[in-house]
Order: sequence, then C-alpha cells, then structure tokens
Amino acid sequence: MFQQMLLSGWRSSRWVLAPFAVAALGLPLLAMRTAGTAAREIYAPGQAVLMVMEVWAPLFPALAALLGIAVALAMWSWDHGGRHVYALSLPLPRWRYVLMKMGAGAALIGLPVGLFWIGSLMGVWSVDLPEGVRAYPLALGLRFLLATAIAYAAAFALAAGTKRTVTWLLIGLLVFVVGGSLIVDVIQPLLGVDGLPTPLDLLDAALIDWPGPFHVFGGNWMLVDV
Amino acid sequence: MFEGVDARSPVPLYEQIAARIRVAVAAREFAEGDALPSVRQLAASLRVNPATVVQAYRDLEREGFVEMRHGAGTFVRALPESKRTEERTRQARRLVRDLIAEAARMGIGVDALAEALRAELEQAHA
Amino acid sequence: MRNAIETRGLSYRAGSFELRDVELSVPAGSIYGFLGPNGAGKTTTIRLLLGMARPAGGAIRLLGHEVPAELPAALARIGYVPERPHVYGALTVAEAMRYHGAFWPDWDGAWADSLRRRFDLPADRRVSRLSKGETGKLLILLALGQRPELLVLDEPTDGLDPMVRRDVLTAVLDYVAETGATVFISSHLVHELERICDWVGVIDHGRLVAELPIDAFKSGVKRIRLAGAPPEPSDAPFTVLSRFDDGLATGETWVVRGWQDPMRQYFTGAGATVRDVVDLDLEEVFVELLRSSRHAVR
Repeated sequence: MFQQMLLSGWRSSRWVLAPFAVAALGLPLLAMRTAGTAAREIYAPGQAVLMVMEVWAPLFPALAALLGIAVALAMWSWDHGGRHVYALSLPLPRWRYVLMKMGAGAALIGLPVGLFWIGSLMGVWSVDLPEGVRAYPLALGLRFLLATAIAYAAAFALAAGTKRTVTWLLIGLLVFVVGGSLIVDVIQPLLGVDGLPTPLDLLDAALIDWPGPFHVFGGNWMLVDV
Repeated sequence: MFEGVDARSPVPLYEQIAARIRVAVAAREFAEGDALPSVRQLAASLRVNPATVVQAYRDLEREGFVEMRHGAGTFVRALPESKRTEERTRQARRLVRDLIAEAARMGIGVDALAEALRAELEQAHA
Repeated sequence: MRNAIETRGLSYRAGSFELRDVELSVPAGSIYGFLGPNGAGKTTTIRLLLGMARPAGGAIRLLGHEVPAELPAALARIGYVPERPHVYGALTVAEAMRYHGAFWPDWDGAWADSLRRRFDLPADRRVSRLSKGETGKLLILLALGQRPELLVLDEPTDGLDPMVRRDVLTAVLDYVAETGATVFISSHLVHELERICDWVGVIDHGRLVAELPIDAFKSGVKRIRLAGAPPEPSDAPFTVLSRFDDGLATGETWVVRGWQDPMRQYFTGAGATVRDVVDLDLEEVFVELLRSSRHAVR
C-alpha cells in the first residue's frame, strides 16, 4: 500500500518538486558564489561576506516554507479533486490513510532537502572564506530540514480537511489579522494609549517566539557567520 | 430460442424460460443427454438474474424434463412419448386460451371466433 | 448472515433535504434494486451506508458489521461503483488497477486483467482520457476485481450507451452466478432492473415507500378498465392506487393493488362492468406506487 501511495504521491507532486529541487540546490550555491566575490575584497572582507549573507538568509526559510506547503497541497490535490470519495471508500481507517500519505510526502520532500544540503556543502567547499567568519552548512541544512518538516506538517494537516474547513480557517485568520489591526488602530487613540499588541504581534508571540511551533523560521539562517 | 423473453409480461421470467425449454424438448430440438446452457452463460446472455435461471431449471427437473448434475451441468432427459404428447396438448390449450381472451377483449363473440378458426384451418390445409 | 445490508430508523438531514426512518433489509445473495426518482435520496442513502456521511440517527449494518464502528472491515468485502468516477484521473488504467489492488485483501489481479481485456480497455490510457463508457467499465472492473461479497452500484449505467450497459450488466450477472454475491443497485432506469432484480426497494422524497420481492411488487397490481364510474367499494379487499377518466367518456380506469379475478363482483353490484384487466410492467407499477404514496402524504 505504501508503495502505491509513494508512486501516486510522486505522480501528483513531481511538477512541484522539480522547480523546488532546482531552487534548493541553486540557492545556497548562488549565495556562496556571491559570498566568494565579497571575500575577495581588500578592505574588511569578513564584513562584506556577512552583509551578503544577510541578504540571502531570509530566502532559505521562505524556500523551506514554500516547499513544505507546496508538497503538502500536491499530496492532497487528487483527493480534493474527487471530494475524497475514493479515499473514503478504501478499506482502511482514515488515520492510517492520512499517516501513510504523510509519510509518502515526507519521503518525497527528502529529495529537495537533500539537494539543499548538497548545494550548501558544494558552495562552501568552493569558496575560501576570509578570517573571522565560518560556514555552517550542516547547521543550516538541519534548520532547513526542520523548517520544511514543520511547514509540511502544518500545511498537510490543513489540506487534509475539506476545502470548506480550510477556507473558513483562512478567512478567520485574515479577519483576525486585518480586523484586529483595524480595531487596535481605532482603540489606541481612543484610550490614549500606545503600543497595544496587534494581531500580528500576538501571532508572532504565539507561533514564532520560543516555544512557538514556527520558532525555527525566525532563527539564524546565516550560512556564513562569525 | 430465448429471444423475446419479456420482463414486462405477467408471466414470470423463470416460467418463460422453462416454457421455451419444455417446447424445445417436446419438439425434439434437444436430444436426450444434450446439455442445456450453464446457469452462468444463460443468465449473462439473457441478462437476467442467475437465480431466475436456476429456478427455471429446477422446475424443469421437477417435471422430469431435465436432470441437474452437480458440477457437470443440466442435461436433457429422455422424454416418454406420453409426456411429449401431454406437453403438446398443454401448449395448444394455452394458445387457444390466449386467443379466446384476446377475442373477448376485442368484443368478438364465441361463434364468430369458432367460424374464423374453421375458415383459417381450412385455408392452412389447402 | 441473513441480510447483507440492514438499516433501522436511518435518518439524515442536509439543508432542506431529509431522509426519514429508512428501514432497508437487503437479503444476502439477492439482487436488490433500489428505485426512485432523481432527488429521492438514493445516492445519499448509499453514502450513509458506506460511512461517507454521518446519519442524524439510526443503525446500519453491512455484512454483519456495524457502521461506522467496523467500517474498514466491511469495506474490505464491498465493491463500490459511485455515481461519478472517483479514481485518480492522472493514472493510466493499469496504474489505477495496481493502486486499487494494493488496498484490497482479495484482489485478483489476473482476473481483473482478463476483465480489462474483455472490456477492451487500453492499459496505458490515462483515466481522464477515457470515454464515459470506458470509465463506467473501469469502475465495474475495479469493484469486481476485489472479489467482493457485496456490490453497491450507484446508477452504474446512467448515461452509458446500450452496448456498454449490456457489457456491464453481463459482467455483474456472471460474477453473481459464480459467487452468489449480493448486489445493491440503485437506478431510476426501471426497465433495466426489471430483468435482474429479485427484490425492489422504492424510495421517494426521503422515505422508503415499499420493499418487497419483485414478483410480489409486480403481480397483484393491475389496471382495471371499467364501463361506468362506480364509487370506491368501502369493503373491497383491494386498494385503489389511483383512478382516472378514460377520456372516452364511457368509463374509468382504476389502478388497484391486491386484485384477484373474483373481485369483479364488486363492480357488478354497483352497476359497472369490468371491461379489461391489464398487467402493468415494473415501470408502470413504480409510477403508480409513487403517485399514490405522494397523494397519501398530501
């Protein structure tokens, strides 16, 4: 059964995996190439390299998030197409089906994640870094793996629901963020106070600050650092 | 042989199937020992419930026309002449019964019908 | 196990549509025709039976298993053909068969492949590229390949041309003859079911209006052509399902249930004569039954 799940997962997600595989391999490589150029500066090359890395750093968590979400959606796309009838008619408990599908998607995500590692390592090996800065390809690779896994798991759980529940959830989130921000903007001058937490602040605190589930996205994504 | 088996007729399907086989056996279209089509084959080709075919064959077995041998199929039995005649008579009476009922529906009286019968039989023999 | 499918007091509500107190008893080994006009609740009932929707109340047993508590065990023995194709369109016929086969314990790959050849389905054609008829055949193929004990077919031949309908029904009948499996087939094409069903259940507006063996359903319902227009005898053993003018101004036509020939005397006493007694086919009985049951509800 898992084999068939893997095969059908591959078929439904291969056109999503392909560009992400390219990006996963290329992004760290490109980052290191530009770092290599900066490393050849005469004056404070270390600083130059760090400045370059700061530009590239946010792209990695973004890639991880997009990759996780895209594969999660691809894994469920065929089921949504048929309104889940086929899956519901299979003779196995729903939780087993979901778990197997999740495992299949996780296995497939391994490909671009692996390529990210390869790209980071290759990039690091091809560049002579100046004094004072070091490369952390393994740490970055681990962070990428973790971030992708979390994004995938969250998106997978959402995508497993019906289109209706997901839509309502997203609408609810949007209302919370936009509506809440508006309310805060109105209340602050009325009450004569400042610095009330906005919905985005609340989400940040709940989800990204430790021990929020998405903490890894807010951490240090520098491939080269002091 | 089974064309025109009509699900809409008041006669149940199993009876229609059995009737045709009875006629065929009585008219020596089937020889003794011939195999009838298997239940599967006949049900599928007529697109009727296999249980219907089974019932037809069972009725025929009860009446002595065929013999169901488990695993081998259903086979025609030797029909004594008396039974053959009995069957023919039954068929003839049924035909006449239908004719009389139809005539009554059309408002044709018994005398007119008898006259028509006589005239047609005469013509047929001529 | 006496009944392959059994429901007690099944009810459901979605918006303005409602299923009320549906009591189904589908005997094991029978071919049960689930009849009803469009919108009567056939597909909804089937979805409830297979655990794809949650009932508002009532109990369901499939092949002795309680639904939804033992649903996977039941589904392992049930072949389902839905109204609209549910298989993944991007797979080829062969891939779809392999995918399907991986989930069912009794899948017979060799036999399924012989069915595929019999149905003339190209193994390497994508499911989304199949014609309507070919898709219909594929769905039956997948259901039969599981070697199920119960086939649940939701309008399996709707929209298919006569050749394909024949192929599909022949394959099902052949399988039933070989294995004695139960078939629960829903349709609004009454003529087609007439030949093959032993049992009939009629559903209309969310209520099960009748459930009985097909011979009992058909026989005893007759159209009586009368000369004269007598009042309905209050003590008659037959039920008048409907009555209407002949259009010839010489009498009326009644549709009655439970008719037997000696009952003609009821009319002679009232000064009318029975001109004719006509048997109705399944479709006509079905229509009359619906007409009278709707009238009764009103």
